Amino acid sequence: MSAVLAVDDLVAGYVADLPIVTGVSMTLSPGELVTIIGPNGAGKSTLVKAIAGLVTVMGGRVRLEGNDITGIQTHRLPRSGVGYVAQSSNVFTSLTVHENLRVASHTLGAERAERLADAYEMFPDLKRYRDQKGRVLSGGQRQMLALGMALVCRPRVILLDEPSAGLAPAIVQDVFSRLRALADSGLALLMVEQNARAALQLSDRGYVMAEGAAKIEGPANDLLADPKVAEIYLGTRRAS
Amino acid sequence: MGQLIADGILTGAVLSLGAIGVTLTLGILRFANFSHSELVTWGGYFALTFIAFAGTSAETFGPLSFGWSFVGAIIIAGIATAGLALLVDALVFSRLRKRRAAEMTLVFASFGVALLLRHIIVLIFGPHAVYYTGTLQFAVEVLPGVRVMPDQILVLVLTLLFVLGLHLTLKFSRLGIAMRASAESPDLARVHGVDVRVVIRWTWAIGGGLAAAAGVFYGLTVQLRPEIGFALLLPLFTAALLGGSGSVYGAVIGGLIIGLSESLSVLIIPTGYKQAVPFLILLLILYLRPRGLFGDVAK
Amino acid sequence: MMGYVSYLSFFLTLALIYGIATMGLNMQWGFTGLFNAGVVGFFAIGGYAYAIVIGPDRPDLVGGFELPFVIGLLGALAFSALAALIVGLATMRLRSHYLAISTFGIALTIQLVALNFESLTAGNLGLIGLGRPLEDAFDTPLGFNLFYLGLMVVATLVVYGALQLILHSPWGRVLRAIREDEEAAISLGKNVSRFRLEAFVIGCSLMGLAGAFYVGSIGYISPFDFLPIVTFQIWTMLILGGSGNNRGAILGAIVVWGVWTSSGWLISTVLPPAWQVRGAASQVILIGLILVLTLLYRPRGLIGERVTVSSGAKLNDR
Repeated sequence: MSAVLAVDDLVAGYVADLPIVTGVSMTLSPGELVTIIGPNGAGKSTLVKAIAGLVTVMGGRVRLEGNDITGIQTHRLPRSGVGYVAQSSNVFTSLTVHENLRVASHTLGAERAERLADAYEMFPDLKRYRDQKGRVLSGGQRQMLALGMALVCRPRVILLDEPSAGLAPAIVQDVFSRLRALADSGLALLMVEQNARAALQLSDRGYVMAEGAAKIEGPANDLLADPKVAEIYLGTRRAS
Repeated sequence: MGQLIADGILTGAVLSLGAIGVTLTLGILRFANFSHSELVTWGGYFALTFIAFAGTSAETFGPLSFGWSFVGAIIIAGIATAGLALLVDALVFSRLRKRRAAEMTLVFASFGVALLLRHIIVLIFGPHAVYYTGTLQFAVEVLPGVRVMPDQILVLVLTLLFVLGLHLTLKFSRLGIAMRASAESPDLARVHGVDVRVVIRWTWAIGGGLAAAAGVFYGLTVQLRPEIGFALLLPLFTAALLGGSGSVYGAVIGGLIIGLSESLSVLIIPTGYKQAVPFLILLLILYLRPRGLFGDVAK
Repeated sequence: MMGYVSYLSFFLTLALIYGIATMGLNMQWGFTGLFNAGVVGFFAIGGYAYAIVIGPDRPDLVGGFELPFVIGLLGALAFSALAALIVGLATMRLRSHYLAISTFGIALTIQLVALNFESLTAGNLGLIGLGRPLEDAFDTPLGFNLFYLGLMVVATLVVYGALQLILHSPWGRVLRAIREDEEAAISLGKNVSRFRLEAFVIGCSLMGLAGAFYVGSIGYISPFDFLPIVTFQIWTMLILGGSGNNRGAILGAIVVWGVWTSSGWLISTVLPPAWQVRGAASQVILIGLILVLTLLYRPRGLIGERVTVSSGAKLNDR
């Protein structure tokens, strides 16, 4: 199984000499949904931001289908095949739904109209709110729009930074099942999640990060069953 | 009274064009560029330079004071001023951005840039007031008791066209939507493939071009002086803040309100204090509605 | 020879006066983060207050109380503090560029008042023959100049010492805490706007005091001594010297004033009369260049404050 995304010993952070991610390696294959969990401040978000070129990379490599994209200029992400769904403020609230999708299709040419039509087909809700400003959307609708925006350029990899943050539990399930379906269709998804249990239940594999490094890696079910992981990172309130 | 309103609208139109640039830099580059009004002056002088080389056309358009060479002057001034804005950005502001300097560092730098731009004008063109043409124009009575110059009517029409053009660009074009997106969140725009550096360059170019138009119109209807920019600093910022930073329509409405109130203020306060009117309005806005009339950019 | 000494002492006198104003600005920007773009306005208020308090009685004009020098200084302090209080109450809740543009407008308004409120300021004629402290005690201008320079050295040291004292008091520490992390300061129960207002008033009073010293040294006052360029000069002094450091403020004042006067002297001796205006323009260009180049290549100035914040303190959420 060849990896679509390979992260090799990545070191990254906001301030020089103060790395937050201190040497992380991971891989992601087509059709895989991989979740990174870990306590607050473990560097999970910084890791995906560094892959996306939003945070300075101080060492290591990121390869996408064999091509080096380490410290990529963020605006080149869509064209190189990476979609990115940021945490919480991930749609433009002052733009309409349609304008949001137009920004997401910024780099497309003639195929734009077709891709936008695809997005509306995939998320019929968006079509209804086509000319509404982003700020009037509910949390779930925003997440669908953000996902739609990430998909417009037909990426091979999608990075998601806490897609369940601030959503009601029922909507979280909805979002997660969408992500599962996308993975099943052949996309590779790497997501950071606080909601570790629900995320792992749908994932193929998982990484547990702490203090800037990936401490444990394995199939999602193994992580769920691992008492050490359960105790430290999944919360101890669970009875079993 | 009617005359004062007409004069106020005219001043307001020029202010609007300048205030648009201020509001765009506030919204997209996220700093108060105190050197923007100097671009207005430069626009006026670029046009003067073009006319000096190209000569004034013997034939003028109907009742207007100028002919074809002036049309060329407006276009050249717009391009040259946009270029100047880009040059200043490349030499000063973009370097500070790259260093991730604090917002106020950029504001300081803009003060320094303003000093440089204004006094380079004095150095090159001298301190005296100049005019584009010596042609005398007769005012036309458009309404009972309201006289305006044909040039002034043209200025008004062109301003409307420019504002309309910018409105359509921002509303419908790929660039315009990318500009609005970058104003709200540069990082989110980048993630979706927008090269924010390109957006920033266009912002300078549009702001500079409109500033040049303001300068040429001011020179045409009033006169050209090196201190135009300095005198416009407070009115432009007040118009932009009144409208709400980042809002183009706000800047236009703000410009008109400032123009009208400056003009009408002579009814109630001595003329010597007219320049303080924008400041009084500014204080009022800051008390009553710090976000401005149309400030909806989430910040 | 005596001429040079006299000139040099006059130069240093003015440099130190600007140094006092720069320390006032440092109180606002360097230690509190307040952007006052209307420095010259408070400088002018101090100057006019002083002139009106000590000036000779004039039939047509308000003021001219012929009071002693020291009372004049107190008047300057009081009026600039009062003006700062009024302005501060209106603007202290504003941040960054709003405050900058408001204070810029205030300075402009004050200049308009100086030009137009003729019964108080004599308009563009200015107030002349104000007399200088103990002027009659000296036989030569040199004597007076040296005396006044001595006075300014003492004043600078007093201001510097007093500022160091209050900046290292608990009050000063709160001030710096606010500049570094306003929210943390609020959560500690500090009344942030009150501290800001106090710093603003202290800073403006020092600008007013400097204005009074300025008028005291030259013996007349006119609106043309208070052009907006003065604000930019004082800002350049602070940025070049190193904001957040009062020794830097004084050093910056001496260097910038040195560049200003020597370039002015060069222009007036070298350039033909027809080119004088353009020469004056290049003097301002020099100030602009110093400001921009310092920001680009030496952002902390000649002797700036050492960064004491822990660099991890302001990071985004991870």
